Amino acid sequence: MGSYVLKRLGTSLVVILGVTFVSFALLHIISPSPGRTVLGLEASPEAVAAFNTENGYDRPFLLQYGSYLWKLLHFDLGYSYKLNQSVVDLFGQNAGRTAVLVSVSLIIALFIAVPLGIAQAVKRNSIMDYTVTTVAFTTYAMPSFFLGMVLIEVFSLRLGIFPAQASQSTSPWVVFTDPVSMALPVLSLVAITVALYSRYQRSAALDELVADYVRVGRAKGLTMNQVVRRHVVRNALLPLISLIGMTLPLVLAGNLVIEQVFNYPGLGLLFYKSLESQDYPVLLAYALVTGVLTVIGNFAADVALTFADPRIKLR
Amino acid sequence: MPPTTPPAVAVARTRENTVDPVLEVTSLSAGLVKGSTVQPILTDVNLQLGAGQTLGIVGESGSGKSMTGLAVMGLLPKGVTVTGGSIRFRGTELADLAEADYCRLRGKDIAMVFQDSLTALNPTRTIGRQVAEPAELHLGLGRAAALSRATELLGLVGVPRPAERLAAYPHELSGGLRQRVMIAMALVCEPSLLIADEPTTALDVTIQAQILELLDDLRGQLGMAMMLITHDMGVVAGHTERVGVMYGGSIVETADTARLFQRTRHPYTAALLGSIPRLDSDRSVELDSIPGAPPELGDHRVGCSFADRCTRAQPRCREQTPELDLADPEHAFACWNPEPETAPAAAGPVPIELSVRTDASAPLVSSVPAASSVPAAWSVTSSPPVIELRELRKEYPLGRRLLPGREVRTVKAVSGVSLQVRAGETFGLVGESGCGKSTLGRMVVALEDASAGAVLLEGSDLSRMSRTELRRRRRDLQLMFQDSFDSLDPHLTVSESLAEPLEIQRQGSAADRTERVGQLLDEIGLPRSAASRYPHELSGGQRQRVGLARALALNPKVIVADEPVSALDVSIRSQILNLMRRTQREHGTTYIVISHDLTVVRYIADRIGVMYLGVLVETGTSDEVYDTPAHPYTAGLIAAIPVPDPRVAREKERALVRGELPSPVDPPSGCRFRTRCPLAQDRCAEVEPPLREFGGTHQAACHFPLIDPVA
Amino acid sequence: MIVEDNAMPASTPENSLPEPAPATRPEAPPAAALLPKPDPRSPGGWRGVAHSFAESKLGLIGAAILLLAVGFCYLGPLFYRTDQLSVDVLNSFLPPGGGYPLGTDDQGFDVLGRIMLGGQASLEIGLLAALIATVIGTLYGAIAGLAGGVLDSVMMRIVDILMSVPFLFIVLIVATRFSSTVLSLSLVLGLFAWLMPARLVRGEVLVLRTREFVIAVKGMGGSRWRTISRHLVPNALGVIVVNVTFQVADAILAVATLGFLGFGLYFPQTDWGGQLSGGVSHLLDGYWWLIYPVAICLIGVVMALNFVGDALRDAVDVRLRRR
Repeated sequence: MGSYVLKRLGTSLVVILGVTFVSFALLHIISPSPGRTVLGLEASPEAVAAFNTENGYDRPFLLQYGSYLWKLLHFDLGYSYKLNQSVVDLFGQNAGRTAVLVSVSLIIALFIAVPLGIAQAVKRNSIMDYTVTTVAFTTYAMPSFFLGMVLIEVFSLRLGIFPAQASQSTSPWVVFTDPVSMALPVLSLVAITVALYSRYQRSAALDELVADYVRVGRAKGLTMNQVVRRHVVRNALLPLISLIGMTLPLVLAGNLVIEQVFNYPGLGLLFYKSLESQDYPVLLAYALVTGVLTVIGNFAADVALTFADPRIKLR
Repeated sequence: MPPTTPPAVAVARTRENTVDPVLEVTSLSAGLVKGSTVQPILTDVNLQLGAGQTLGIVGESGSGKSMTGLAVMGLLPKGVTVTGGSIRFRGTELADLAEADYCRLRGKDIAMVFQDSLTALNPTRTIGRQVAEPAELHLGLGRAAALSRATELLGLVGVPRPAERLAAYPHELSGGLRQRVMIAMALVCEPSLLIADEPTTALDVTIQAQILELLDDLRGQLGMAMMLITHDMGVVAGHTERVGVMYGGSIVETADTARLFQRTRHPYTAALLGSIPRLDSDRSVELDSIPGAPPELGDHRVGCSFADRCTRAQPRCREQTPELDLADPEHAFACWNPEPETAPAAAGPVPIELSVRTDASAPLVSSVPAASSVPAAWSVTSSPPVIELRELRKEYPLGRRLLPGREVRTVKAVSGVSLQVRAGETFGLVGESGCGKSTLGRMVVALEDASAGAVLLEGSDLSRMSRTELRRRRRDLQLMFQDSFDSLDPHLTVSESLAEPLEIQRQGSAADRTERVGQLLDEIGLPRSAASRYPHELSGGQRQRVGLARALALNPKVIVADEPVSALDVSIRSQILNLMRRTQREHGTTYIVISHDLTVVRYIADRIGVMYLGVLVETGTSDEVYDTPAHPYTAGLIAAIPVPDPRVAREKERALVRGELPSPVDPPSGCRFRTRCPLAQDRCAEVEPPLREFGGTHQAACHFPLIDPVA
Repeated sequence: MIVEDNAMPASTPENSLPEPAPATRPEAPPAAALLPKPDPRSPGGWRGVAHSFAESKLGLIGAAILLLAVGFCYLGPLFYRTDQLSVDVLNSFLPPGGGYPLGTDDQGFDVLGRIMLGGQASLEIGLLAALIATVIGTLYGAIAGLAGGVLDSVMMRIVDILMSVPFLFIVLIVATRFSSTVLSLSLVLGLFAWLMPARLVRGEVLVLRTREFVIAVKGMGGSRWRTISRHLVPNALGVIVVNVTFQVADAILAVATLGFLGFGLYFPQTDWGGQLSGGVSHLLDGYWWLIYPVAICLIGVVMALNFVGDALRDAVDVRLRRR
C-alpha cells in the first residue's frame, strides 16, 4: 500500500506543478504587461516599461515562471495592485468564510444525498424514486443563480422567514452564529450539491445491489434491509469518496455564484469583484488555489479509498 | 427410496422416519407477473428429497433449474412469484410463508451455495466476518464466539490455516478457496437442507473434483439433505441418489440416478446424454446432437416444450402438454412417446445408443464416418509439420520498472514449449486455467509475440517475417474464439463479419465475396437469410457457427480454436464439435483446439498435449494419453472428469490432484507439478524432468512416470 | 463403427418401437437453421439503439421537448414577427396582454419574440461548444488510448491538470478579454470543455482494444486504419453521441451563468441565460413575466437534454456494448 500512496503522491505533485504552470501561463497571456494594467491607459509607454522592468515582467517567460514558483514556495501568491494588498492577505481575510460555508453545505448535502440515493436505488422505480429523480433533475437543470433567486422569492419575499442577503459579518463562523441570515446561501449550495451527488449515489448503489453477495446475504437469512445496511451501503459509498474529490471545482463554481447572489463576502465575491476590475493576480491566484485544493482533495480521496477498500492495496 | 408420502404421514412427521422427506415440492408453478398477464417460469414442478439424500437437478440454461432452487429459498427475483403448488420443508409450508419467518429459516435450516463469482462474497468485508454472520444472526453467538465457529467451519471445509484466513479479504483467495468459504458460510448453522447451485461451474476440473468430494463428505457428516443444481450430467451421475431433469421450466424426467442413466425414458434426457462426448466414446462416430436451441426462460408454448427439437415428436406433442406421470414414483417422466423401456441388463453402453439416435435426429448432422480424420495409428510422421514450436516462451512483466537495476518480476505464462503439428491433424491442448494454453494459442496465430523461441509456419519463422509478409500469411492462420458475443462486432451483420477477412486479404470481387459468404453459411448450416442478421439476433450456438465460418473464410491452413464450446449449452456443444470435425474433413484444415475440458479434446483431437504451468508435460495420440497416461498430472486430470455414468462414477478413486495451481510468477523448481504430485520425491525439486519417450508418439516429462518409458 | 445416414443397427432396442421415429425427415431443418424469430422490436446496430431509445418514456418526452424548442425558436419568428432591434422605452415592463402575449422587458422588447431569439443563441452556443469539445476530446482521447505507454500517461496527466482548475473560473478569466459573440463564447466554452469527452473516449478505446472482435481483425491481417475506422469508431460512437447531449446541456447552463456574471452576449443580442439574469434583477418589482417564461424554456431544454442523454446511454449500453 505504501508504494501505491507514494506513487499517487508523486503524480499529485506533478499535477500541482502543472496547475501552477497553467495558471502562470494564463496570467502571462492575458496580462502580458502588468504595467499597463496597473498604471492605466494614460500612463506613458516609458513609465509602463520602467514598471515592468522594475518588477521583472520583461524577463524571459521561463525565468518569470521560475521566480513565480519560488514565490509560491514562500506562500507569496502575488500582489493586487487594484486593492493594494498582497493576495495572501486578501485570501486570509475571506478564505475562512468561504471554507466554512462550503464545508458546512457539503457535509449537510452528503448527509442528505447518500441516504437519499441509496433509498432510491433500493426502492427503484417507486413513486419516491421518480419524485426525487424529477426534483434532482430540475435542480440540476437550473442555473445556480436562478435557484438562489427562487429561494429568495419563496423564503424571503413571500414567506419572510429568511433574509435575502447573507450576513455581512467578518467572522468566518457566521454560519453558526447567525444561522437565520445564512440559511438561504447554505440551502442553495446544499440543493445544488444534493442534485449532483444523489444521482451518482443512486447509480452506485444500483451497481452494488445487483452484485451476487446481495443474494448470498439474503440466503444467509438477512432481511433486505440488513443486507443493505451491513453490506451494500459501505460498498456503495466507495465511488462517492473519489467523486467528492473530483467535484470540488464544481462545488466551488457553484459557491462563486451563490456568494454573488447573496452578497456573501467570501472568496467568491472577491473573485467576482476582481473580474469586474480585471485584477488578474487575484483571479489567477484563486484559480491556482482551487486547482491545488482539488489535487489535494483527489489525493486525499485516493488515500481514504485505500483504507476503505481492501482491493486497492493490490494495485 | 422416497415414495410419495401420504399427507397424513407428513403431518405426523418424525425425524427418524426416513420415509418422511425433508423437502417435498408438489405441482410448483411460478411466473413473471406483467400487469395482468403471467409469463410462466416454472410449471408443475414435483420433487422429493429425504434426509441425507442428494437430489440432482440437471438442465441447460433457461431450464428453470436455478429458479427451482431460488423458489425453495424464497428468493425468486423481483416480479417472479409462486403461482401455485406447494413447497413443504419438514412439514412447514414455504410457498406462502411470511417473509420474517423465511428469514429465520434461511441460513439456519436451509442454506444455499451459489456459483463462484468475484462478487459472490462482499469484497470489502473479511472472510471471518462473512462466515460468522449467520452464526451471529441465527445462533445468537457473540462476535468472538461466532468467529471461532467460523474458524471451525473453515477448517472443516479444508481451508488451510483457517485462523489466519479470518482476516483475509475475498480477492486474496483463489476461486477454489472462495468456494470453500461459501460452503463454510452455508454450513455454519448446520442446515438440514443445502441447495448448491452450480457450485463448481467456474472451477477447474481438479478443483471441481475436490469440492464435490467435500460436499459429499459434509453431507454424510452433517446428515443433511442436498439439492445439487448443475448442467453437468457427469456431476449428477457421481454425486446424487436421485435426479430431476428440467427442460423449459418443468421436470421432464425424475428417477433414481442409476435408473435414470440406464433406463432413460424421456427423449430429452436420452439426447442430452448422447450429446456429451465421453472419454470412452467411439471417436469414429459423430456425437448425437439436438437441433435448435433450448427455449428461453418464460418462453412458453402449447404442448411439450421439447417437441420442436424432439425426434420422437408426434402431432399430439404439439397440442397437449404431457404431465409428469407420478403413477410410478420410482421413475416418472413427462412424455407422450417415451423411449422404449429396456431391462437394465440389456442396456448397452450409452455410446452405442447414441449412434442410433444420431441418424434419426437430423439429416445434416448425422453419423457420417469420421474415420478419415482419425488415422488408426498415427502414421503421417513423414508429412512435414505445418506448425512447429521451438522452445517457445512468453513472460509478462508485472508492472513497469520504476527503479533502474531492480529486477522486474514476470509472469511465466509459457516456459519453453516445443511441438509439431502436421497437416490435417487436430492437436488438442488441455490444462487448467492459468497453464498458458491460451497464450500459446495466441502466439501460434501471431497475436502475441514470443519472448523467446519461435513459431514456424511451414518452416518459416513468423517473428522474422516482414510486416507485409506476416499480414499476407495470416490468411493461413486463423483464430476461433470462445466468447461468440465478444468475437463478433455488434455493429456488423453476419455477412459483413464473414466478408471482412476476404476484404482484408483482397480476395475476389464484391460479388465473389457475397457468393463466398453464402457458401460459408451453407457450410455451417445456417440459412442464407442469416446474412443480414446482427450477432445479438442469433443464439449462442449460431454465433459460434458464424465464428467458425469466419475462421474458415480464407481457407486457412491452421485454425486455432480457443475453448470453442465452453460457453455453450451441453446440447449445442456437440453441434459445434461435429461441425468442426466435418469442415476439417472437407478442407483438410489443421486444428489446434485449446480446452480445459478433456472430454472435448479427447473427442476432437488426434493428438493431445497436456500443459501444466507453462510447460508441456505430456503429448501423444489421444489413445496413448488417455488409455495409458504417463504423467501423474494427466492421470489426475482424467480421474477428475465427472463421467455421465453412475456405475463408472461410483467406482472412481478419490481426487488425485490435491491443492491448487501455484503462482506462475514463482513456479516451483525442478518439476513444476511436484507441489501437487502424490509421487513427488526430492529429485523432482532439483532436476527439471526432460520429455521422455513412451513408445509411438507418446512423450512425458516425469521422473517417476506411471508407465515404463522406452529405453 | 460406421453408421449410414438412415440405417439402424439391428441390435438396438429401437427396432421394437411401436411407432418408430420417421426414417427420413426431408422437411426437417438442419440443426441450426431455426433462426430465432426476428424480433421486430429489437433490430441490430443503430436501428436497435433507436428502438431501445423509443422504449424510454422520459427519453421520448425529452426528444419531443427539444424538437418543440427548436421549432419554437427557429420557425416561431417566421409566424410571430416582432421588432427585436429598436428600443421602445415607452412600452417597457408592460405586463402580458394586448399586443404582447408575454409582456415587454426593460427595453420595451416583446418578451415572447425575445425568448425565440434568445433560444436561438442558447441552442447554437450549446451545440457549437459541445461539438468543438467533442471533436477535440475525441481526437485527444483516441490518440492517447491508441498510443498507450508514455504518451498516454503524459496526455492524461495534462487532462488531470486542466481538470483540477475550475472550468468556470478559466472561462470567466478568458472571457474578460473577449468580446462576447455566439462564436467566441462557443469557442471559449468548447476549448475548455473537451476534458470529459477525452477521458471517456480514451477509456472506451482501451476497453475496445481488448475486445475479441478487434483482436480478430489483427488476426485476419487487417490494418490499424481498418481497426480504427471500421470497428473502434462505430463502437465508440455511441458513447460519444451520448456525451454530446450532456455537453450541450452543460454549455447552455455555463453561458447562462456567464450572462449572470456579466459576460454574456452583448446587447442587442441575447440568450436565455442573459434574459433570465436580466429578469431576475427585477425580482423585487414583481415583473414575473420577465423571469418564469424564459426560466421554463431554459430549464425545460436542459432537462430534456439530460433525459435524452440518459435514455440514449441506456440504449447504447444495451444495444452496442452488451456482452
